[in-house]
Amino acid sequence: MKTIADILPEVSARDPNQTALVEGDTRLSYGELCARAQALGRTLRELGIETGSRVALLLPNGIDFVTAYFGIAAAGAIIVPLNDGYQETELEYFTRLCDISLLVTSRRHEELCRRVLAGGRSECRPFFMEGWVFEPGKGTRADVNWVDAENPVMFQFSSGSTGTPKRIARRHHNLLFELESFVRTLGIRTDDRFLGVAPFSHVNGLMRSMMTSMFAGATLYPLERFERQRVAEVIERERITIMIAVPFMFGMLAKSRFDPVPDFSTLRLCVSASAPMPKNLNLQFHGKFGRFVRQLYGSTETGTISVNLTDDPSDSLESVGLPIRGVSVDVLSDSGDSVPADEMGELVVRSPAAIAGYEDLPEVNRESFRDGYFLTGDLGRKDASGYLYLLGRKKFFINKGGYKINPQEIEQLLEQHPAVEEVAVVGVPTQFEDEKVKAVVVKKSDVGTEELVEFCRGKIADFKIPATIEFRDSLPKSSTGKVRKKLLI
Amino acid sequence: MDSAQIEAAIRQVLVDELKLKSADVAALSVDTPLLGRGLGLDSMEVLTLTTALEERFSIQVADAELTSELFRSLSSLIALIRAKTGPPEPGPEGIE
Repeated sequence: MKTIADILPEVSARDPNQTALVEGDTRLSYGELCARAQALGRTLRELGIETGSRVALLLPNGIDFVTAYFGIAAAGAIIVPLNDGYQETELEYFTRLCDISLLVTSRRHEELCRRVLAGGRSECRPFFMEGWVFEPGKGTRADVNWVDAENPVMFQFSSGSTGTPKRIARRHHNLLFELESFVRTLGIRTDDRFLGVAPFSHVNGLMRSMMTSMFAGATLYPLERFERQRVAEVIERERITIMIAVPFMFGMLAKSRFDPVPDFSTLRLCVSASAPMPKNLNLQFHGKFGRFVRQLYGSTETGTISVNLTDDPSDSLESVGLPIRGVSVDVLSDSGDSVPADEMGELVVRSPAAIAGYEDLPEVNRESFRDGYFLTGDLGRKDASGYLYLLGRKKFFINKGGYKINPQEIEQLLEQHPAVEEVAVVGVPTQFEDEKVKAVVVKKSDVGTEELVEFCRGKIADFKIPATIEFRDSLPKSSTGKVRKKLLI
Repeated sequence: MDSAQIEAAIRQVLVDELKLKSADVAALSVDTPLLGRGLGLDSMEVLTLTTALEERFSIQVADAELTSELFRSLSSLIALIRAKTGPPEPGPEGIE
């Protein structure tokens, strides 16, 4: 397999009748999905999309997302998955940052597209999946020759520690290595049934549910959003074997009242990523459903790093496990030397799935990449058996349900409000070991919480809008003038 | 449990589970919208609140019941909990 565009043709050639996707009453075989993706790829070429064109994807989890993802890949273009909840400011920003030619989306976003894409502010055009008519036989496997294996296949974004989100170009060989390694490490089989509930627009849902399932020739059950009873019903009825999600989702299932408690005995793997899974919630989940949640560690820059697959995880619930095949992790002191087992340091990662550097950011690259390793900014330790534990982070960002939010993005937005003199945004811990967004504002003139929240609405995704706004006369600062954010939490 | 007790319990859940400031929660009117321009709860907070209320009142709330209408205000939440926990409160003239 040379490129991402080869995945569906190869899996389909092995067994075209194998079920690829089930969404409600609709079932799609690998043969049908492959034909649809190739036909869409041809349609995109007819619309002027060329090898290396950037095509954004603004869709919820579902058959359309998967078809569009592989259709864009088949056209040889670069896929830019965007959060389905993004609003005007974010959409405009990413459209410009990535020089997007086409936005593949749904009619639900028609008004948003009109506001962002109309008026000559962008060359980008919308493409609504509802308006696309599948023509069987249009597009062939030969079409994927458009694809250059060495080129980027997907742009993702890292919140990073400073500045605006950094663009990450992942290449075909990066993703194929990660998928191969992950499938082998987890022992994924064609008879596995994946629940696709983590958003496909985010690296966790995209790579570890959607792409892994497709690469392995397994069956994927995408769900547009997380609804507790719906999730439980699908797991039980469809005898789901693998659920890869975020701590919030497992925590909600553990704490919700079910009568009767659904049967999760077919789940052979529950994997949580994007934020630490609190031990008490893990025990609660196990007490209710008889399954432990395995912790996984990864980053957008490196792909999946490690996962805890130990036979009996009860003694190591807080570990993110061993590195997956082909990935090596070291723990470094501040001076850059490896630290002994069980001592804390910064986790650094070397992986063929990792990017070599951020695009056009030489200074950041010097800080983040060294001797073939990516410096994650995460603090952790490695025990004598090589099991990794995350202990904190050096880089500052807010983790909201697995989404990494750069506080600067919200600060910059609020600073545009005429009544705001100064603002600092921090994350306040919640019971799910993620955080909620809090803004601390020094007023220039009279303004209230409601007005500032309304000012943010429609410009940034709802999950970034401060849940709390506190007004102060001044912000606490160090002698060098840096805001002491720890005093604001 | 009467409406006042349910209201007090919901306010406590907002403070304990959603980590809202006590003063902000105390200032909420029973008609303040819990979503959007009002309290501005997002989808994760709505689920966190719902799950905590299920536990607090030993009730089960269906996915289909989690509508924007339910979170229109404290009043609408109180009405749902009352409906799930017992018979309606008698009106001024009593209800048989």
